[in-house]
Amino acid sequence: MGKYIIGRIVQIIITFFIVISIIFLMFRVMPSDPSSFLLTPSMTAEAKQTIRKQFGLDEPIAVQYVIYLKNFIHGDFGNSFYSGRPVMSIIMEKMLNTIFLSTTAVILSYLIGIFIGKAIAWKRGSKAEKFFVILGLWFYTTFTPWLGIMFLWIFAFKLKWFPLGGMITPEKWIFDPSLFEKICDLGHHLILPLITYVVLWFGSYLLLMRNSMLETLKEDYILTARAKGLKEKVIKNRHAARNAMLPIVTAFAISISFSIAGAVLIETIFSWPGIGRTIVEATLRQDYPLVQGAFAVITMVVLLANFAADIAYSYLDPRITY
Amino acid sequence: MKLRQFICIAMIFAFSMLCTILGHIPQAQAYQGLILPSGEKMAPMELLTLTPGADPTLNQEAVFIAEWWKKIGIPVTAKAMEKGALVKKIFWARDYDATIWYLGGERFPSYMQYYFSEAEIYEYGWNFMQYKNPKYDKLSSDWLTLLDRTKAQQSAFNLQKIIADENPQIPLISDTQLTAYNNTRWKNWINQYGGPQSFDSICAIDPVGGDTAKDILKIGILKEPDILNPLGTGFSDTWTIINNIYNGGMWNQPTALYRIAPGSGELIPFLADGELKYDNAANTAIVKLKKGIKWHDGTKLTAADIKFTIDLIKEFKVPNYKDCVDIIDKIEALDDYTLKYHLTKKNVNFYNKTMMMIILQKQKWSVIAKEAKAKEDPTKYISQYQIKNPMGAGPFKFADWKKGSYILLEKNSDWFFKDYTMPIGTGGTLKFDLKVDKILFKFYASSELRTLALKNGDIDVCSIPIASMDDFKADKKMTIVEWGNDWTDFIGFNCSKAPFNDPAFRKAVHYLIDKDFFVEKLQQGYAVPQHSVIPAVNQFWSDPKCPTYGAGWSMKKRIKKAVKILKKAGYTWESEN
Repeated sequence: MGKYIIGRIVQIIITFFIVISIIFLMFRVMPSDPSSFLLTPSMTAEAKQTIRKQFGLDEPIAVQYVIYLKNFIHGDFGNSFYSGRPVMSIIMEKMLNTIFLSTTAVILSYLIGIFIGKAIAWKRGSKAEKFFVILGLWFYTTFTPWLGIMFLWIFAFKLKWFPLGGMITPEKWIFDPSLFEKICDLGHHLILPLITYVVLWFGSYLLLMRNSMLETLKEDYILTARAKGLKEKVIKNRHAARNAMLPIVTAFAISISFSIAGAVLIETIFSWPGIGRTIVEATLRQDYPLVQGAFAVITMVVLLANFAADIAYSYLDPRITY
Repeated sequence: MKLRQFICIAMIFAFSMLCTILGHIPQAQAYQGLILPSGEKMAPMELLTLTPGADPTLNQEAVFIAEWWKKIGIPVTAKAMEKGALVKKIFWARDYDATIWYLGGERFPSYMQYYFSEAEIYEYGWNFMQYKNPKYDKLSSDWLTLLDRTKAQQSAFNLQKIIADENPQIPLISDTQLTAYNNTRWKNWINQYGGPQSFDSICAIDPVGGDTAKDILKIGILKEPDILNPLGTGFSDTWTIINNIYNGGMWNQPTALYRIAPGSGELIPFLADGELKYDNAANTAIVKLKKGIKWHDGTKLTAADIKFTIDLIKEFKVPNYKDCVDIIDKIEALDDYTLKYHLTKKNVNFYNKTMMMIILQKQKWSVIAKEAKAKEDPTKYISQYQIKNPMGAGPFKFADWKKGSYILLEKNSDWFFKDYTMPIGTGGTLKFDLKVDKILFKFYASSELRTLALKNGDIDVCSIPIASMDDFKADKKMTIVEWGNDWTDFIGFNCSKAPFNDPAFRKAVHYLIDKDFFVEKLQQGYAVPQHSVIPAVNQFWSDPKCPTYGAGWSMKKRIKKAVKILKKAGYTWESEN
């Protein structure tokens, strides 16, 4: 086990190194130059060169790469080209907003997916099963922006039940409301993007749980359980579902880690100031340090979450040893 | 597979093949295979433009122009590129034949000098057209030294005429900006330079239904500023906010010590008291400052602040303001309210840029400057400094910034210019009655969402897309304001390469561009065809008499004219019907 863990850590470090090198190269081979976005017509040529120099863009690529790696090892992601703020502080600020939306949504879709998946696998062939499988698949394959815009149009613009995007109502916040009012306002803004997210995502867990559960139900120990005369509920929840959960645990660990990358489309449609939207905006403005930093943080979280899932697996399933 | 299915698939395949083939058969053109006077056949060329996502109008213009040029046998295709890549290709590598680009955005069009100057031909320089004309260079540098406004205007007209005749670039159209506001909330919006959301307009609007002092003006913007540092930001959305804190600034509100009168181009004193006294012989200028102007913290704004700002920008070589301070050799504060500028050379940038430049508070910025000096790259440090609490002397004070959601400004009740009257572009005057109590800038991720928010009453004013016009016109609560943009699209030619090095060729292709078609078909009438390099909305500097190259002509007549010019210049065709 100890050897395995050390091996995995080495593997993580190598993977991380490869990923950040790819990120670096990816942005350097793009055909344009980030400083072109800051150049204004009234700027003199000398001023334009000053800006390129400030960004370190006048150095050869190899030198830029060495500086990049050196800074990474020191945990310094640099400053954003666009705002000059330290990349880490921007990422942390946006990350909280993203966790608030995406991570909540992942957990919720996970719970709903598991619950329904378990139930419909037990009632295989019923109308309910067909209905939920089709519904899950239908939403899972729906075009995200379309669904988001429809929800906004119906529930926010026509019915006016929810606000038109954003995270808070500025008109309320500028008059210094109480904590309770703030929480209510945040919640009110959270509901619509959250529902969109869950509706789009619960299908994947539902199908995964259903398939896994169907596999488990074929196992001999289920037959044994029935032969012992156990109650249906006990067989379903304690014998079948627990074993069927195993692949879902991995899927969950990965989803949680990916959820910090944010839902790019949902955040954009609902004007949610999260990490996904930041990545899109930063990419469009070629804000290299910010995108590199964001990708590096996401890579690290995904790698660590996978690692944690592997370790957890061996505890959950004693049949697996490393 | 059943036979019927097979036949179906085969038919679809055959149909799509047929369409592809038909699409590739060249249309029969009257003129084919243009041959240059040198005897060579013209090589295929690309007309570069931005992607439809970045700018749909620019992209469409290129597609149509390419089609029109093909009619006289020019082997041209429109090619869309991502913005940064295009900048690199045209501004740096100069590796192109023709491109569509845009210029403008400056009240005083100093670009007339540097865009066409031979001195700007080197890599990174502005003259990417590589246009060389010693006579023009002489005229344009002289123009920058003309302090007499009437003479300067005449000289600018002459410059525009040269460009219009020689065509190193062809101005196309300038689109009309559409701003809609909710007329049940605020009235008396001013429609002038910068539109209804400009500094002047915000200081002049009144609430509907009496004085509701508690009222908040809510403005929807698309790009959240990342920094509120006037030295570092060049984004117009950010300036819309900063203007109100600092009494204007260089960008979309050229206002500081003086401002430019919209019709006459004269300087009107703003922070300055009385006229600017320029000593021609000594090349010095004396500017007096109004007494009693205060910073938001209550301290006095004095000549020392202005001297400090100029010295700071000179010392730290802040790129955005180089034009403003380069011509200043030295600045003295003779007393608290008198400044003496020593200029290195006679240059109207002093009037049009230095006098409109931002003013920073010495007390606050001397601390930042001290910190910056200790850093490895002081210029970078000072231009990217995160200002938590911007200190200005403008009509609004900075109040709050909730990242990702809003920026709030609060009325400065002690604003020096409250109840002042100022002349406006349409001829009358406006009164800065400052009825807005708070300005709330709300950020939206897409213009669709922002448009919905305006209709929903979440915001009071914002720009709207042409597609929403009918919807807004039908809505009685909404008023739409149309205002002229001071940017214009143009085609720039690589004048160092055949055949675009030939003025006759450039003139011929100019005749083939139907600008009215763009206005009608691409912009649904919400644009103005441009004939001068300086957009017509810039009334004082733009020459209304520039040649129009066949405005109102049919395409047939245009082709005839272009062919005539080309034949005269020695061009022939492989086949001609």
